[in-house]
Amino acid sequence: MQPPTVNSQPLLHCDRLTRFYGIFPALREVSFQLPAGCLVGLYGPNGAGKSTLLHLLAGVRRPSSGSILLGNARAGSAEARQRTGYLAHDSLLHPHLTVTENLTFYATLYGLPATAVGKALAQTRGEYLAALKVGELSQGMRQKAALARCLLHTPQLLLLDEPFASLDRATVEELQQALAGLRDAGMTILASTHTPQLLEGLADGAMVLERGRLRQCELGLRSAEAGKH
Amino acid sequence: MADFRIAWATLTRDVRLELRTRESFNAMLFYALLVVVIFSFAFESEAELTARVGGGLLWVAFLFAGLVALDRAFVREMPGDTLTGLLLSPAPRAALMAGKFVSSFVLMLTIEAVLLPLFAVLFNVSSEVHWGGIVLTVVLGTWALAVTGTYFSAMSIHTRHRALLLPLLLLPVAIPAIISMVQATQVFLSRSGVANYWWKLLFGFDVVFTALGLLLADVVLDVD
Amino acid sequence: MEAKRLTPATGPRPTSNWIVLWGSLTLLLLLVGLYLALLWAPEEATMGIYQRIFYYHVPAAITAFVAFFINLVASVVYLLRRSRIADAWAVASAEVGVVFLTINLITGPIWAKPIWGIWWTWDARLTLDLVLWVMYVSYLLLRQLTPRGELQPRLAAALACFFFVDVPINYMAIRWWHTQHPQPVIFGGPGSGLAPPMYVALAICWMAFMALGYVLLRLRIEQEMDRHALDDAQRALLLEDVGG
Repeated sequence: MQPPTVNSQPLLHCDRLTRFYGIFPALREVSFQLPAGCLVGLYGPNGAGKSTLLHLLAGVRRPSSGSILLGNARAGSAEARQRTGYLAHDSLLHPHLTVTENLTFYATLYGLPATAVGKALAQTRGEYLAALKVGELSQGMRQKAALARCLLHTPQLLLLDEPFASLDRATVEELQQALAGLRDAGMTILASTHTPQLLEGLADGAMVLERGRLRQCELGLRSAEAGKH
Repeated sequence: MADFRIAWATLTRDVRLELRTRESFNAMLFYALLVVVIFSFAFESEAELTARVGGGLLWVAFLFAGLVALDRAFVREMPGDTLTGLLLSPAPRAALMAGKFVSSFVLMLTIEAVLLPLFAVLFNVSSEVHWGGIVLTVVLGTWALAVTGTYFSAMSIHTRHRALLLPLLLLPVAIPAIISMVQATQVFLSRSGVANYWWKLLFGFDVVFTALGLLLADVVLDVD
Repeated sequence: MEAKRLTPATGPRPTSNWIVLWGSLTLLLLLVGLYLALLWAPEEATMGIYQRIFYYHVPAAITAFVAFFINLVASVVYLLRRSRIADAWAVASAEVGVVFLTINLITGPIWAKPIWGIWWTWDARLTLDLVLWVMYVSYLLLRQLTPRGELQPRLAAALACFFFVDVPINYMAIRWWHTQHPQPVIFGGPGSGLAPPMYVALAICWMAFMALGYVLLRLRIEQEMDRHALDDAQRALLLEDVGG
C-alpha cells in the first residue's frame, strides 16, 4: 500500500479509525490524511464500510476507537460540525416544508444570516426550487436542495454518500461540474460511489475499502492525468 | 443570543409543521375528545361526582391526549431523517430542547383549551367554579408534563417500542406533578380547600425539571 | 487495540473464592436472622405473631434505598467519566434495589391484612415505596429496550438523575396530600415501641439482607464485566481477520 502523498498541511487526519456494530468490525484501523482542495473517490463493494466511514467523519456516529481531526477539531465537536457538510441518502429536509423554510432553519442552526440560503441555492443553481415543498420534488431536485443544505455554511470538508445514485445523465453532469468547482475553490470532497467511472478525470485521489480495511489510498491522480481533462 | 434564536426557530418550525400536517393534529384532538366522551359514559356525570373526583378525570383525559402530543415531539423529525440533520449541526442541544419544550407545551395547551369546555359541559361542572384557578393549574401542570415528556420523548426515540416506553418513563417521574395538578383542580371543582401549596409544588417541579432537562439535553440528543 | 487470544475454558474463575466466603456469611446471617425474628424476639403486644414480618419488611426497604443510592452515584460517575465499571455498578444496583423493594411491597400487604383488615393504604412510606418501585422498574425497562452499546448506559444514567431529583418532590407532595386527606397510619414510626431484643433481631436481619445484596450486586457486576471482556476478545479476533 502506497503511503498517501500530501503536499500541503493535511486538513483531515484519521488515525486507526475502528467502528464496531456489536462485535462486528465495520471499519478496521483506517488511517489516512487528506489535504485541502482535493476531490477523492471512495470505492469498495457493498458492506466494505464506505457509509460507516462517512458517518464517522460527519459525526453521525462515534468511532469505537481511533481519532479524526479536522484541522485541530475533533469530529463531532461543534467546530468540526461547523466545517463539515454531509450529503446522505436521506435529504435531511422535512417533506412538508418548502426548500426555503428548510434551509432557513438550517441557516439558523449554523449561526448564519438568512442571506446564506439564497447564496447556497445559487451555488447549486437551484433557485427555482425555493418555494417548492420538499415532498413534491423529484429525486434530482431533492438532491440539489440537499446539496444546498450542505453548502450553506461553506464547509471545508464535504462528504457525499453515493451522490450519483438514481440520477439522470443531465443531473449527474451538473453535479460533477458543481463538485469540480467546489474543489477548485479549495474544498476537500470525499465522495463514495459504486460507479468509479463517474469520478474519472475528476477525482484527485482514490480510496478503496474492503471489508472495513483501507486497501488503497492514492492521491495526486488528477495531476498524473492532467491533459486528459 | 444565538441560542435563543435557535430555540425560537425550532419552536416556530414545530408549530408550522403541526399546522401543515393538520391530519395529525385533527386526529390528536379527536382522540382527546373521544376520551372525554367515553369517560362521561364510564362515570356518571352528576355534578356531585364531578365535584369529588373531577380533578382526576380531567387530568387523565389530558394525559391521554398529552402523550400523543409528546410523542410527536421527535417523531416529527423522522420524515426525511431531519433528526440526523439536527444532530449533525453545531447547534447547542439545550437550545434545541428548549424550543421543543415550548412547542410541546403549546400543542398540549391547544388541545386542552378545547377539552376543558367540553369537560365542563359533559360533566356538569358548576358555574360558580373559579375558572381562573383551574386555568392556572392547567398551565403549570401542562408545563410540567411538557418538559419531562419532551425529554423522555427524546430518550425513547433511540429505543424499541418508542410509543410504549414514553408513558412508562414519563408517568413515574411525573407522579408528584400529577398529584399536585389533580389536587389543585379538585380544590376549585369542589370549592373547598386551598391550592397555594400545590401551585408552589408544581412551580418547583417546573423549575427543577426544566433546568435538569436543559442541563442533560446533550445526553439524549446525541449520536451513538 | 491489542489482540487477545481466547483461552480455552479452564474451569471456574479463580476469583470465585469470595463467593464461598460471602455466601456462607450471608447464609449464616439469614439463618440466625430467621431464628431471631421468628422465635427469639418477644411477641409484640398488640399485633401478635404477624408483627414478625416487620423484621423483613423494614430491612428490605432500607437495603433497597442503599442500592438506589449506589445507583445514583454510579450514574453520575458514568456521566462524568463514561467508565464501564460505573455502568456495571449502576445496572447491578438498580436490579438489586428492585428485588428488595419488591420484597418490601409484598410483605407490606401481607402484614397489613391480618392486622388492620386492609391490603393497602396510602400510608406515606408505602406510597413512596411504590413510586420508587415504579420508577426503577421503568429504568430496567429502558435498559432492556435500548440496544446494547454506548447509548444504553447514557440514557439510563440521565434517567437516574431525574429520579434523584424527583424523590424529594415526591416526598413533599405525598406528605402534603396526607395533611389534606388523612390516611390510616398503620405502620407507625420505624422505631416506635420496640423492645431492645427487637432491635437486635432487626439489625441482624438487616445485615443479612445487606450481605445478600452485596453478593447479588457483585455477581451481577462481574457478569457485566465478563460480558464486556468477552465482547472485547471477540472484537479483537474479528479485527485481525484473514486477509488482514
